[in-house]
Amino acid sequence: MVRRRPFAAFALALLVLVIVTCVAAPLVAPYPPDKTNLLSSLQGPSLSHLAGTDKLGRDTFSRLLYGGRLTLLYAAIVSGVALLTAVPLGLISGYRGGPVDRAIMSVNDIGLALPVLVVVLVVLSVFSEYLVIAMAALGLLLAPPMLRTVRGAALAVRRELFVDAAVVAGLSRPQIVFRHILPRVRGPVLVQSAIVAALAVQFTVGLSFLGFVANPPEASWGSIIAEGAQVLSKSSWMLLFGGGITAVVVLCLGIVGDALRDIAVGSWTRESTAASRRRRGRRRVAAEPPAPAPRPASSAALLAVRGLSIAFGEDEDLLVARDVNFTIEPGQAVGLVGESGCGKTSVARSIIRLLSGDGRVVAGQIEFDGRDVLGLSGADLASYRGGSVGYVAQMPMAALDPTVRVGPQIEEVLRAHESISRAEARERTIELLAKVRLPKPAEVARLYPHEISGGMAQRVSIARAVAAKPRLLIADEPTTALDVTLQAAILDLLRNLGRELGMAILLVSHDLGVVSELCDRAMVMYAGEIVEQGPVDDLLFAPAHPYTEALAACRPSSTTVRDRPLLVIPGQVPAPGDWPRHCHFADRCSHRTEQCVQRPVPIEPVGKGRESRCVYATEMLREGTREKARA
Amino acid sequence: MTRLIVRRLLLAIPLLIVVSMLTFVLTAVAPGNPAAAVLGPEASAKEVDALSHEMGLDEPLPNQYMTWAGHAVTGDLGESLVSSESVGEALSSRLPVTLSLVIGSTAISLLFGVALGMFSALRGGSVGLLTDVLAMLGWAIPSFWLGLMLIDLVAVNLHWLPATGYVKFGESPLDWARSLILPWVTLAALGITGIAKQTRDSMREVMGREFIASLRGGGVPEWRIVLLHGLRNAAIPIVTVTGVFAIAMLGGAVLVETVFAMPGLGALAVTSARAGDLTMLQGIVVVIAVLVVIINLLVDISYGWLNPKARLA
Repeated sequence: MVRRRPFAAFALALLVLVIVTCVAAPLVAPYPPDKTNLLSSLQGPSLSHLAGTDKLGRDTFSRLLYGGRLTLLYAAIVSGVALLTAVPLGLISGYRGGPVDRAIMSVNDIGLALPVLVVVLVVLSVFSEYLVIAMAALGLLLAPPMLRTVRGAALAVRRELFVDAAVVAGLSRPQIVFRHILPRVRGPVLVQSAIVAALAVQFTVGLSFLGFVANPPEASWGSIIAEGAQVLSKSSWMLLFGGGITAVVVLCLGIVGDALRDIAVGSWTRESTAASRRRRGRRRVAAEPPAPAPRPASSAALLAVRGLSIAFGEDEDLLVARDVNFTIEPGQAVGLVGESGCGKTSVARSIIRLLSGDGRVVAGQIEFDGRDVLGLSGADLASYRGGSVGYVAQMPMAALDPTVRVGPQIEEVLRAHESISRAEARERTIELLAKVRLPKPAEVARLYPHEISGGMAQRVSIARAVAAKPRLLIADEPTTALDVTLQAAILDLLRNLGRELGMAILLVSHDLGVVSELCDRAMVMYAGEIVEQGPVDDLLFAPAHPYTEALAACRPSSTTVRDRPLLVIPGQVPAPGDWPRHCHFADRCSHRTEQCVQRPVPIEPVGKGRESRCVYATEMLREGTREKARA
Repeated sequence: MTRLIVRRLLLAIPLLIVVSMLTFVLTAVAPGNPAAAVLGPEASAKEVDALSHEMGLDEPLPNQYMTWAGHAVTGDLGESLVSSESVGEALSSRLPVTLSLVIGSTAISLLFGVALGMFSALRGGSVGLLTDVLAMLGWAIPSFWLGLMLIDLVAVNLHWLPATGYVKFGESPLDWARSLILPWVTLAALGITGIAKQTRDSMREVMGREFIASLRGGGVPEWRIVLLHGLRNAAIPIVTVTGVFAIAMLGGAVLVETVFAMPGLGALAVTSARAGDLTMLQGIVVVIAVLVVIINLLVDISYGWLNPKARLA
């Protein structure tokens, strides 16, 4: 903890120091707390009086220590009562469930709604002689939020298997609760303890400021503040020190509590995994060869992606895509295929400048109709998005704002690109909804996203993406989240829209078959690289890369070669940062030889309009032709 | 939605019953006679008996409560044990002070908290760190102490604003606002920082969601995305937290009103507690509990407005 969280360690040390010094006040305080000296009243800090003196010339530093004793003692009582109430009841509530849980929680809800300070004042006025009772009441009133947390944690632990196992093993209920569940909820309990302790200090100081805790001449932090408030026009020192020490203690408790929470959840936080991934990535990518220089694109291309590399993370080295090159001609439908985790979504999203989180392009160029896409900003970027390129996201439901009706979400896009009236936009929206073949488009426009089905949401999403008549539509797994019966309909819709609007389509999919239904050409991506590209039929029936071959064989379809068994590719895509230096697919490849693992494999033309990143590409093609000839 | 509100109101009933029984139960289990406590140590046994009878303390507890509750539902909360003032009148004259304080502080907290939180969510970096530090400080600094420091600085040293006191809105709206600025800021300090933190967290979460990317992909202007889509989707936890802080501010009013010498419910609670004026405290507790119920109800209603799905409930 000291090395990982120096700040929290310092706070903890400071806290311990304050507590120990206050408890040991009779030993360490330079003066007795009530020793008056009217000759030196209301002095500022000096060597003989570290925190100055009060109206009666008493040493404020000594009074802070003695006052701290009293304050911390009562705060400890308050926290103790809160803990002893919240932890057992929370455990029982979470573990037992049912009516016991409901009973405890409904009382707890009432407790949560009580105005703490006012109720404590009532208790104080009834039990004016017995401060401890009021403090215990304060503890009870601070228990409900903690109880709720403990219950939640116990509930989560109970649902885990090992408690069931303990029941089977014949352990008694109290044994299970205290031996198995309590240790597991220790994290949240510690965090809540820090919070409750901080609140206890604050309330105790507040009450003693109001004059309910310390009886003069006894000191407490609150009474020192109150005395300081009375002499405000003459000296601010007592006010400053009395409140300052309180704030420091509460602050330290807060910092320690935060650190405890981070430690409790630390093992699986994104932060730590991202950091470790970055570390791994750094080691790995240092060995990657530099990306080759981008090649010139054909001038007819609508979209040209050249030497594109995309990275995530703070450093530039966690690549998710490397040296990606392809072009899309106007009106052409092109597929981008690969397993999940290959980087195809990142490539697709970079085209419309929508990389999520801290993802960004680290090398390469994207040109749309001769314009540099990566350089766009402001109004140009806004008109490019939606106006030049439309985007249909993977999960149709997640792509719609749940709090806004369907129609206005499309109207918004229309009005972003054309200066039309609200009424006109509404009319056009209904036309668009009809165009994506939604029955009763006017009614659908008035529905909220949660009131429509996934298939309808996908049509709405598509309508929105084509609203401003883009020349390229990017559809990221548009059918994956949908029912099989809907898939064909959506693909059909995309095909017709493409034809009707003269719109090029980039279809991202893990399914080579889906791509083959819509596209003429496709790129196959594996572990951040394009491993093969060419006409879809060639990829399906005469693959020039073992990965394409495996993808084609994975499809249970009448279009694949029949006498081959349905394949499952063994292993999984290596994570970004774990890519090997040599052929990325080598570890899972059935054709692998020594040659594959020696050096990086470049992508090279194989035949007309085709490229492959495999040292055996030519052999594969030759063999494929031979097999076909035999059949 | 209606069902949600009705359920909330039904849940409020046990709360109000528990709260209203508080003093009765406490007096019953407390040692000593509350009448004696009011009269002080010099009172004779006869005087104590007389006051006990007047307070109904010689009746059985359920009868005492039923008598009080019967009057309470008609708006009669009894008389102060100390000053014989009508509790209802005392409360209604002080309620506007506390409401001005709490509503103003809540509004300030919401405005500045959301602004700071959004700025921090969208800019991140040093602003994010600043929000964290402010949130920690806002939580750690006792509000009444902050109030005293503000008095020291702004009123005593700079003479910009009155140190203490309260001017009724009807007398002079300007002086009313001037008398409230320091208390508002004092009480809002906690709320601003807490709301800022919540706003930042939920804005960050929402701005990372797919529909935000899809809106950007459609070329929708960024200000519309942030304000109309982002903030609206982030609003529910922000409103929840605002409700929590509004309730906390009702409690904080006890200290802040005392510090600024404002004649509100909180300051009245302190003087009543010092004097052992139980009927007055009883009334204050009930009024504050009703305010808590109203705050929770407002939060629930806003859920329905913010989230179309909640309207079905």
